[in-house]
Amino acid sequence: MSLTLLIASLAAILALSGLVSLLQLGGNRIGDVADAARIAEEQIAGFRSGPVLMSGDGEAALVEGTDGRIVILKRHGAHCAGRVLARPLRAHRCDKEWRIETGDPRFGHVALALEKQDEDKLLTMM
Amino acid sequence: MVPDLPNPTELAIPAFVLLILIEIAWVRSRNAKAYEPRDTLTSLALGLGSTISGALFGGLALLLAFQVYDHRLFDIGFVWWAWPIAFLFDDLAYYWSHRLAHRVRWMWAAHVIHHSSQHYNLSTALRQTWTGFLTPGLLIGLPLFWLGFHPVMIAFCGGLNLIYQFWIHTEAVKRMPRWFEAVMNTPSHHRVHHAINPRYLDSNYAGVFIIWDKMFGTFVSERDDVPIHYGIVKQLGSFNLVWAAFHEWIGIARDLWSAPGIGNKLGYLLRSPGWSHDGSRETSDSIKAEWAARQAGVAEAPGASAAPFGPATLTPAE
Repeated sequence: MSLTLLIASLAAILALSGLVSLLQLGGNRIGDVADAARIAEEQIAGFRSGPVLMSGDGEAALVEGTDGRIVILKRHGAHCAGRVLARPLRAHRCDKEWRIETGDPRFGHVALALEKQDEDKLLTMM
Repeated sequence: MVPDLPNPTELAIPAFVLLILIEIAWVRSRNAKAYEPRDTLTSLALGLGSTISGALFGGLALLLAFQVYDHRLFDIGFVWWAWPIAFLFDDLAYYWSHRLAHRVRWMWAAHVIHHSSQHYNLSTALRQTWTGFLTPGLLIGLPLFWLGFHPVMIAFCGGLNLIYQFWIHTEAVKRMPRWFEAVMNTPSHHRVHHAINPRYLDSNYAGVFIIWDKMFGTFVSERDDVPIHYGIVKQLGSFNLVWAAFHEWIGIARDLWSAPGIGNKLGYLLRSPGWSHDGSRETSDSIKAEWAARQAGVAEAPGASAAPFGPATLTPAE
């Protein structure tokens, strides 16, 4: 691999990335409760969704399964990534959001902006 | 006399860029939300890293190939008829190497980077390994050199094989003509390979010719009523390049450190991804078995698998 090719490849990567950004692609959100329930089932094999706590910004959701497992979803690009959480849930209030700890440092915590009634449901889940 | 052959992959780079641009235009015309700029940037950067890794360590592979070639059975040389045979055999070696890369965690650690995107587009094709030289995958192809195929010929064929595999990483092509789908690896077949749906896990390992999967029982066809979800069973949820390249190696190191007994330690290296000595984790086999059991109990309702993530997923082009 020559230095010229390396530089040309880097330039092509930057040019493509710049173009993709200019086109304002991406930016999908979790649409609603049904959307979150379906995504949880798609992401975690064998998971059957029950009650859903939706973050108001469409960035995340907490889904309780019919088997008692809890799945946290966060938006990752145009899709969602999920983790099955261990009980008891580790969550704490941080300003106007709830921070859900996933126990996976690379996945990070997930912020949920919840309605008042959903906050109460979260407390019962914990 | 060894011919002075170009590196076909390097020559193909302008075509790669052009096709990616065309695909972006196609996606934008259908559903702009379905294309994630950060994912594309991650894929391209991982591809560049792979090229650098190949330049640094590819010489080791060539050295090993020449060592075996020195003890070859036949002097095949560069006669015309050797080229198609070499291409076919190299593709067969690719099939087995690729299959092992999904079934042996040591090899999966290097290959998982290619599956770590939840998107499926042409940029995903460039998301290639940085650490392949740390695995025994190369050994699969050594018999070709022992038979007498020149390492330069096999390297060239391998480059053509990689170029072929670029265009099949797209949702823009739904199906090719029936005869083509029967023999060749296609976007449809390879979408199945990248799927995390239990129905599709661990299938379609082919590089160029899908016939290997049909011969060795790993072929699964794409169903129009089962939308594909891409990525890995435990999605990364991160665009961090280093994490994408090394997360499974780190996982192996942790398991080797903490596992009781040499047998379990070897299991974490040589058994399938997800295997654990206490059975606490899921493998693709266990996921498929549970799915099959569920299917046996409950007939799949038509339309039960709705389109993933609302409007963000593209339906393969008609």
